[in-house]
Amino acid sequence: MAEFAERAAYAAQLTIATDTERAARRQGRWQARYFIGFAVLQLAFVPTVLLWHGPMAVAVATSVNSAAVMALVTYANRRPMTRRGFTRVHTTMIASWAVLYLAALQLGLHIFDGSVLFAAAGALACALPPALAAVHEIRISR
Amino acid sequence: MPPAHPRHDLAPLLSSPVRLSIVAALAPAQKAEFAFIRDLVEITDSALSKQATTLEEAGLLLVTKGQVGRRPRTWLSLTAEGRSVYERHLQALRNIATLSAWEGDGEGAGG
Repeated sequence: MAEFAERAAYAAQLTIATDTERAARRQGRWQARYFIGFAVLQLAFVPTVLLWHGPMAVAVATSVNSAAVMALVTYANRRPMTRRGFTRVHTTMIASWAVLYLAALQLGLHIFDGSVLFAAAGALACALPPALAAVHEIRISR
Repeated sequence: MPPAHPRHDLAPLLSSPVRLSIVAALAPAQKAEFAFIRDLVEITDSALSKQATTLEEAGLLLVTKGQVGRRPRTWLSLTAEGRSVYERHLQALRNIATLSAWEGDGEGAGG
């Protein structure tokens, strides 16, 4: 009888641990929302930079993008929980995005100047790293 | 010599359901706010504070204080040792569950 009670207590402990861990992991879903926000921002920002030329375009695009990035950073800083491994995923995403964004700028402004098709492709390419990061976060926060 | 029973790998400190819940809530986190853990585990501020001190003194948990904007915040995180102790504890519980199921099957097969 005592052995049965002991086993039941161990089983209860296992349930407590797995349920609490799962509940905590679900709270990490804001990271997916953050990455989706970043991806959507690229879909608007990259074509604007590539197709709208002139000092006014640079001023507007830079200030709108800076404000949006600040909003995303503020959102991230105010979250009560950061999932383990988020820093690594975020750093990888930013590094990949930076490479693709610089390539899109170089090609879009010097070779495919004014090409709507290239601007669309560049926007999709720049949105890809945050979109993949969002998929990764959704998968592991289940 | 027969293999040791998996219960020998259990951490006595984690036998308390509240402490186990706190550590489990922190397991998938890099860090989490005090209030977040309090709400998730459904305990009072003072109870969490007491258990966090116990876990911190045992070297399993780290308490850091800082600010978000002008608001003071307290973050909790597991230390490397805390993570290792929790994983060993969880594995021992799984092993006990497997052993129990296997013994149960054996009893059932034996009639």
